[in-house]
Amino acid sequence: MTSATPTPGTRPSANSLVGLVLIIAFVIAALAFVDSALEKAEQADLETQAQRAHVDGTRLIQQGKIEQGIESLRKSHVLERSNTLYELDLIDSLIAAKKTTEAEPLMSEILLREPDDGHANLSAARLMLQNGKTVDAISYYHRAIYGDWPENAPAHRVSARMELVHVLAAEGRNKELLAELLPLEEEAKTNMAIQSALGHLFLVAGSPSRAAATYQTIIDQDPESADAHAGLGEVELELGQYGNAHTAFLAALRYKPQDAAIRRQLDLSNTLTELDPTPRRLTSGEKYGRSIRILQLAYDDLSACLSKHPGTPSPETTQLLSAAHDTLKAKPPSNATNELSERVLGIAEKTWKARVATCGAGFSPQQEPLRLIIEKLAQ
Amino acid sequence: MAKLSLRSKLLNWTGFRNPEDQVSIVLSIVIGVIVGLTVVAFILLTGRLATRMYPPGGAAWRRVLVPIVGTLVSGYLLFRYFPNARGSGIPQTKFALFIQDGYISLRTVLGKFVACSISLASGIALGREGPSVQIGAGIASVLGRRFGLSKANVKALLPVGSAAALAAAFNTPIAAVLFSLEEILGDLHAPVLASVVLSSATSWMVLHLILGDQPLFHVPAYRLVNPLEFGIYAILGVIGGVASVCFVKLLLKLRIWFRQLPASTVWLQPTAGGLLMGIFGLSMPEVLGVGYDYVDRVLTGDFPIKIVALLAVMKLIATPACYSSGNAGGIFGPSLFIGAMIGGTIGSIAHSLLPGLTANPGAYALVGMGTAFAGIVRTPLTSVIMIFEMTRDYSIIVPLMISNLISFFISQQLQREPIYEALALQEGVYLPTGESREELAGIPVGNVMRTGVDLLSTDADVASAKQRFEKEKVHSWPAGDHNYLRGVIRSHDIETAQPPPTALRDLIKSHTDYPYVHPDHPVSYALERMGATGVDVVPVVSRANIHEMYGIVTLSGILATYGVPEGAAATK
Repeated sequence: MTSATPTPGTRPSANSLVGLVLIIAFVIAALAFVDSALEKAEQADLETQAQRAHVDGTRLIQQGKIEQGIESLRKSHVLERSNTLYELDLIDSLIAAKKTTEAEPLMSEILLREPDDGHANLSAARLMLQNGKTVDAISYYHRAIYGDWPENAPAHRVSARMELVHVLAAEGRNKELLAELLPLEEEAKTNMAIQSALGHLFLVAGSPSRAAATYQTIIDQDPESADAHAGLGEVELELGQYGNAHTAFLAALRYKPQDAAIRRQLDLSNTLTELDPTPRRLTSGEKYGRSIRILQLAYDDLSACLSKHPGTPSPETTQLLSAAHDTLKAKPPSNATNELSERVLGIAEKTWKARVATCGAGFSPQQEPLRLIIEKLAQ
Repeated sequence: MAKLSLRSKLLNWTGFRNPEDQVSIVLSIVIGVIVGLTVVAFILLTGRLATRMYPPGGAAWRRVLVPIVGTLVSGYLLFRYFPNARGSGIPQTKFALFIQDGYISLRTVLGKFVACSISLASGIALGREGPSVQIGAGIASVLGRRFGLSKANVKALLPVGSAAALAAAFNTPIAAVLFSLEEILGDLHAPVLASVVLSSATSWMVLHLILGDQPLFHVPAYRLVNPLEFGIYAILGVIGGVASVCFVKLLLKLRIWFRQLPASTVWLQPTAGGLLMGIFGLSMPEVLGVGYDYVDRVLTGDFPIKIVALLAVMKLIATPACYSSGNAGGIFGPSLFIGAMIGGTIGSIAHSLLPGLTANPGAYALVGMGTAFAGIVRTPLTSVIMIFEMTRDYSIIVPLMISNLISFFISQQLQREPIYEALALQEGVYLPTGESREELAGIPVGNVMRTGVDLLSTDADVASAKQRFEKEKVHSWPAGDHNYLRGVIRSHDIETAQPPPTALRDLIKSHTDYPYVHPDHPVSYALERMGATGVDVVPVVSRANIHEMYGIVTLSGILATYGVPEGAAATK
């Protein structure tokens, strides 16, 4: 093309027509080349800027500067919209900052684009959880576990499942929790952190025997693991094996002598061992003595509860208090029988139930031994 | 029955019997490719230059200096080398279409590309879409002429190039077709529809091949939360319409003011726009450039209301100043920006007052974009489709239509002349308006016009006029001096004038109030003019200058066109 002005309507000759077509082809090729070069340069620039913004955003969020971090991540997403990682990190930070209104449309967009992406589904699960939609969240967690993870898929799947089991534990969905924990057992063999968490989670899921086995495996591998010993102690407490619990807490304290929590549990197991009326080795007199102590604790507890809740107690409660009082004041029999102990324990159980009915199921640490003993007796 | 050749069969099948039609169709695709590639280069080059001008974390002085230097350089280039590349490009394309037989020079195309790249990269508040339209139309014009097409076919290629340019610039192929027909041609049923669609689609494909499938703006999926929102969208339409009128009036008034300045300052005038941008940019960097990044953010509802409102006001002042001072750049992009900011502001207020009943402010920003576009550019249909294509969000289309129509109506009531027609009028050019376009149907005057006729001199006496009437067998004739048309002399005026005139100039009452037609008017309109003014000869004049006569059209000539022999009318 030149700037000369051809007269309209003047047909170009065949030769000049060929020349014209060649010129046009050349112009198209040249423009395509220029465009491609410019686009590549532009793309490279944008990618560099986006990467920089992403690094900044991640760092700022790690430093606790959430708003600034989100701003940087937002920039990285705008600069490179096709980058799923940037978008997901932005979504995760928005969820963490409880900005679900902004996160939701981004989430829908990405799930529409990549419905099988593991990370996207995991983020969607977190978003659903924050919006109180637990059932949907569980569904997205499953999609995340079985979804596509471009790198290190097994670790990501285990991590997603661990997140799910914590959600299930918090929600009290014990059956579903147990179902999710079983596949994790295989992973736990090579991962001490998972193994350690599994022990506690099995206990929460209502499977203390699996929990005990898990802790025992850890102790076999690392005999000096205070956490494993303490975990085993908790399991034994749950199983009502207070003596074994005492031994386990004692071992835990040996490796973590300054740990106040372990010491507290050791004291508890000690109290329970001394209070427990069920061991076969006890004589009838010892069993009766422990039963009276249990009744005394229950009576004191109910009396304290009633004093804090003014109003006339029900006739049943009054009758129960009277029966307990009479039993406690009665002279200890010289030849206490097991039947007598069972009767005392029966009153203690009823007294405890009256206490729960009057004052609710909240307990102080001092009431913990009595609660555990009554629960064990109820079994 | 004669056996048809393969070529004839093919031509019959395609319906393109005229070889020029075939060339036009092939050219539509070629235009689509070349314009698409050129506009992509324009977008990328402008973007890269802007990044160099304003590097991330750059010093504040850049925001003052760059617009000033940029407008100074582009202003000098426009003054010295490319005078036809000023402004938006839409009025210039219409001039070319209606006045210059579709002629746009390659120099203008190059000038527009270079000057706009510099000025837009420097951060002035103008857009790239209008210039792209002129570049596209220019490329189409150059190619049409090169291929030896007739004037009519070269003219027909201008909307083809415009559509290709807009499809690539906005990433909106359907809206580009509509805009070319609605605004450039003013006829939604134009016969060039096929070519326009073809070039638009081709250009859009080129854009996608190079830049990928990303809409211009990323909008979350909005929806109407409560029917009450229709009322708020109507308020947005009213405010958007009023703001559009303010924008247009300010731009036209400033343009008049700049045009009154001495001609020697023309090269320096664009710097006034650059200076204003420098001042604005120092305090508010977001106002620099076309600002699509910020529109994108407002569309997600992520911008403080105070900044959004301030940006709307600043852009409402900055764009008219930049445009009127003679910079090269368009008003499409800025009108979308202003609309988004107005919508974002109203949406934020509504959302804070009625949080449960209203959508995210971004939804209002989205509708606001269309509202301002409909109010400023006055193409309501294009604006609805354009917003839909830009955002690919269908759910908001009904509020968008309501708001757009209200804004369009208010703009029409408060500012009679559409912006491009008003700008053309300031240049002394009479572009066909919506109503007059309807008059253009039928045989054009240019087809029956008699050229090479002499004017009666205004110094001549009455006798020489009578001689001319007798010789030409007519009762009227145009008069003027040195090819400068001053009026039309009628035999009736000569006979009834008191006192009798000494020269023909005594019969000319006004320098503008005389009958005339333009070459694209239909002969029926010429007949109407003859009937209304009592003449049988009407001068055919330029749309750019009504004193420049191309020829005349006579009553007998028109009748002859329809096969009525001379004298038949009188006989009957």
